[in-house]
Amino acid sequence: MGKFIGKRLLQLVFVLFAVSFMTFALMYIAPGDPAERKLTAQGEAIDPEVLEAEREKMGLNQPFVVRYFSWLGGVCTGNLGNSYVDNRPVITKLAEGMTYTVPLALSALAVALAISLPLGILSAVYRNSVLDVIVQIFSFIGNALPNFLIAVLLIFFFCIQNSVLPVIANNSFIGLILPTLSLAIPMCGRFIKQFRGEVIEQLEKTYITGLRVRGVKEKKIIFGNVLHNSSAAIITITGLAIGTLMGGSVVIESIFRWPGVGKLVMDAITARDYPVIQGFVLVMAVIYVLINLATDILYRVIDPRIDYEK
Amino acid sequence: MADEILRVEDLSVSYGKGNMISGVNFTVTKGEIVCFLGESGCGKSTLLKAIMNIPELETVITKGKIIFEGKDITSYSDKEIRSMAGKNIGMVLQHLGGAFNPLRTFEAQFKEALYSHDMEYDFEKVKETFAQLNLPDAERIIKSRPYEMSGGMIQRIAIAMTMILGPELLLCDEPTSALDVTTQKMAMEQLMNIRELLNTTILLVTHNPGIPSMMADKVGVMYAGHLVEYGKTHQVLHSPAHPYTKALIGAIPTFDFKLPKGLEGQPPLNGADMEKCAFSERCPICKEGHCICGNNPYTLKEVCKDHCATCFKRD
Ligand SMILES: Nc1ncnc2c1ncn2[C@@H]1O[C@H](COP(=O)(O)OP(=O)(O)O)[C@@H](O)[C@H]1O
Ligand SMILES: [Mg+2]
Repeated sequence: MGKFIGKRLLQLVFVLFAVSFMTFALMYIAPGDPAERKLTAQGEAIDPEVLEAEREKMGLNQPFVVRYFSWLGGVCTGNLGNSYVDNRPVITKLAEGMTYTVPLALSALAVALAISLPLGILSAVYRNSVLDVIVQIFSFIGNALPNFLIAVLLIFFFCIQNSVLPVIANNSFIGLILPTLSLAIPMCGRFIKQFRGEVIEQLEKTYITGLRVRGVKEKKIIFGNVLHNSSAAIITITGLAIGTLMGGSVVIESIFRWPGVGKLVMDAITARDYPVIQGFVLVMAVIYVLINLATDILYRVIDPRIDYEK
Repeated sequence: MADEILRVEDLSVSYGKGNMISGVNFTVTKGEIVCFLGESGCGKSTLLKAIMNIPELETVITKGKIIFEGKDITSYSDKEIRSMAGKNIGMVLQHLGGAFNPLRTFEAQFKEALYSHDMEYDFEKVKETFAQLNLPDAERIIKSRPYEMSGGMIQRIAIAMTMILGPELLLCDEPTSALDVTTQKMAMEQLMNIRELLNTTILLVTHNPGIPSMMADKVGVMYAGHLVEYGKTHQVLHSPAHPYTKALIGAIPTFDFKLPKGLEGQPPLNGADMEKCAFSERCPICKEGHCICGNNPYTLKEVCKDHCATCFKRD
């Protein structure tokens, strides 16, 4: 296990290095000259002298490699550059966005798990029962509806028809409800289907016969064995979902004016605010890689066979 | 009979389609060890699975009764059957893959089985049972998981598990197939031991021809889904009545599992629902043209006291 973590951490360094290089290259590939883009983003008229001064200030006259390493040096110390639009540090803007995205992501995940785990397990244990069929139909619908449509439907029912909940309610707990549901419902659809599949796979394993032959109680079979063995896969599925949620949902955050990173990056794209886009990509890559590592480690704790067979 | 523990009456079993065993009759007295012999696919495992009869084993009893301790367990609900599993009727499965959850420690699995029957987990008892089955280092084994063990070890641990639950009737389906000769002997001695100590009744399927004469009180011989001969061990082994048993016993002294002359060909594997005797194709008596197949080729008839066969020549 120690060897595995060491190997993965080394891998992580390489991955991050590659990601940082590609993110930097993003600036390079993007059409136009960065100084010009910055001035345009700030809404200033392009005057050749101002442009040249800006180029010098941004260090654009230096060779690519020098620019990359000075940028990388900044990144390592947490300096992701400043926004073109308001000149504030990108890292600060992202951190602010995260204070909105993380609570939304966690509440959506909590709701989705609270619904999908029991329903997924129940419909697997009682497969082909009426309950299973109903759950599967809902899971299919949840999975098929795009989240913006769910958002619109929720707004229609709760804000327009009944006005029990606000459409826009920055910061407040009550404002979190609709965006949470909009994200959680389609996630439930996917989770239920996947969790059900994992549990059924375990229920069909031959070791269940052995447990039955010894008269092991139903509860112990389901909770002690089936869930124990499928938890590795369930953790992986959940980990992937956390990664996706951390990116913030551009659409949902925009609809509910939720100022998370999703909305931040959407605005940055519209304003061609490249440092923000760059910072976002980099931070997301780091989060993805770390979540991946964490799920892989947990997987091995539950199912140590992988290490053993090597 | 007062000390009768198991009576199987006209039992037919299928896996959903045709019957795989049919018209099986026998009785077992408490504390007896009964060995079942027969070629692969003749229905030995099916017979044991039908006695256990939990849904996961896929057996469907299509006809007949199984009387266990005076009660017809074929009329039991799934719930009643499940509550007997392990505690009253224990089973060592033929296929090892099904024995244990591969991801959990043996300790967790022993505890879970014992607690399911409101029994205490006593490591000393586990250790003792392990030692008698040639499993030293119980401390280490109990903390390991099945994927770290060889097939032979898993088989012994499975036997130990079944024994520790202390069932009145123990069904062992080739429990020593993955063991070397010495360990096989220890396992068999252990089975005899628990019979002595706890008066456990044991039904044993084995391919080792030495085992019945060593430990069985009764022997049953199966062919194509039928019990063709059943009786006291020395009678069945030393004066076999059925032509199939004669051929099969003839093979035993050579210890090489080869079938003797006169028993060429393969047993039919298409179920137990045939009209005429399934063995007639291979039967030396039929081949010589002196066929003695009667109208009821599958009815057990008494050869002498405590010994019957479906077909035999009276001298
Ligand atoms: N789970 C099952 N489903 C369908 N057929 C089965 C199943 N298990 C065994 N059979 C069939 O039942 C017959 C008897 O098998 P079995 O009782 O395992 O034989 P034995 O243990 O004597 O070798 C065989 O023809 C086999 O193919
Ligand atoms: Mg078998």
